[in-house]
Amino acid sequence: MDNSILFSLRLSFQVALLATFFVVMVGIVVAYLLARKDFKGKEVADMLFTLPLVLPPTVTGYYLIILFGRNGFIGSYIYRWTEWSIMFTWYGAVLASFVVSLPLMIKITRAAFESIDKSLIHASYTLGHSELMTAMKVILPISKKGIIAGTVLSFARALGEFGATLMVAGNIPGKTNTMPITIYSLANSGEWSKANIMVIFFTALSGLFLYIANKFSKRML
Amino acid sequence: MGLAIRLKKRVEGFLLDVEWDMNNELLVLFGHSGSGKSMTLQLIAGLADPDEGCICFNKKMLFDDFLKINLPPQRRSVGYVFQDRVLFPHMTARENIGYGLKIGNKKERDKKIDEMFKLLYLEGLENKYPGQISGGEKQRVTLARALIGRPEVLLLDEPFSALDNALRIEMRDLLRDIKYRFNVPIVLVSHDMLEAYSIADKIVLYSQGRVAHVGTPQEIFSNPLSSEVDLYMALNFPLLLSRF
Repeated sequence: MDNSILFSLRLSFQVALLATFFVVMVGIVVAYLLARKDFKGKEVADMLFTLPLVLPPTVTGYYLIILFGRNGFIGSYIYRWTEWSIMFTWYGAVLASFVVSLPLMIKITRAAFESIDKSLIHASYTLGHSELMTAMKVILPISKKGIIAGTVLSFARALGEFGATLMVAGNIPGKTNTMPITIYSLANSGEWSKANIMVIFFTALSGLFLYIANKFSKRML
Repeated sequence: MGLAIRLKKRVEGFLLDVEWDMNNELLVLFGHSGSGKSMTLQLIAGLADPDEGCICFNKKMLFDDFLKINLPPQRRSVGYVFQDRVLFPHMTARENIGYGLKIGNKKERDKKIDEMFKLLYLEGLENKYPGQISGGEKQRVTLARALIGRPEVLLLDEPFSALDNALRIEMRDLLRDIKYRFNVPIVLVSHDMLEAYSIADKIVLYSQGRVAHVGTPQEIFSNPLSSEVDLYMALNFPLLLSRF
């Protein structure tokens, strides 16, 4: 394997790991709020977080450009203060992967939280434990399998992210070309033998992730 | 004075409107399913809020809609044993019971947990998970967990309904023992007449969200004034009825 392919491989894992880290942090909190709290606009929030799951990734990417582009709603402020933009950097790929894989984490973790017997939570409250303590000691440990399944699927999704990543981070060789993007470039330029190796590798890896996720979500039931 | 409550709560067409008080005794809330017994316990524990009323314990207000007092469940010092034995499935029996203790150093905690194991005949189950122990043992662990923090009132929601008869009798003895040792008001929800008759110091009979009758077991069952009691006896306890 030549260096450019190794670079893509390393970059993909780097992007997916960092994106998954944020997905887990944010996903657990959001799933907890959606599962356990009643607030105004809850359904709208749920819809907004789920949208990237059904939107074409290019549309998600388009929204990210509008928000985080150099002239975007948020991006313009960041650029003014730091003279830096997330566009066309590998952080942009992380952002795209994060947004696209977050709904998976939220859906699976929320289902796990909602399946917990309410009496267990009530028992913890009557035993004098605060909501935070109950979440840490009762809700999270009991939902462990759902959280693992959600994490693995989110990681797999982040690793395979293509459309939104291409929109936000572009296809800059040696800088933002993650594996899926490299496969696209290889196919475009007819380098089939290289593409084949990566495609087989990717297929095997995704199969493994699905196997792990299934194992955990089955045991959860 | 132990526990005094006056509660009103409307839920989807059902109105709970009750008032009763008790000393450090064993009170049985008795009545049909859906008469508001379990809801009363949840309101006392702070797991749901009454529309109006007050819950007063030893001159300490737990809830008062007029004074806008509403202590969260964490601060009510209530031991609650739920209808379906709810042990934390990811903790051993020992960890479950220890979860009822909020503070204390390790030595102190261990001592208290050991005490509960002895008191509720749980020795040997320390490292077993809830899935590995029997129904009666589970219920004893639940009781131990509720009692270890020395609650000021103990609420039991049909705790023995899933146990067989021999175990129930054993658990009733245990409950008498607990009453004697802890000397706190104990409220037991039941629709088992024999249980109510044999264990209660005082019975509050619920009928469709209201208090139909209050008295000692003898007063209630040997002199049934309410048609509710009559019906109960005829349906559930024909042998006892034939004695009167």
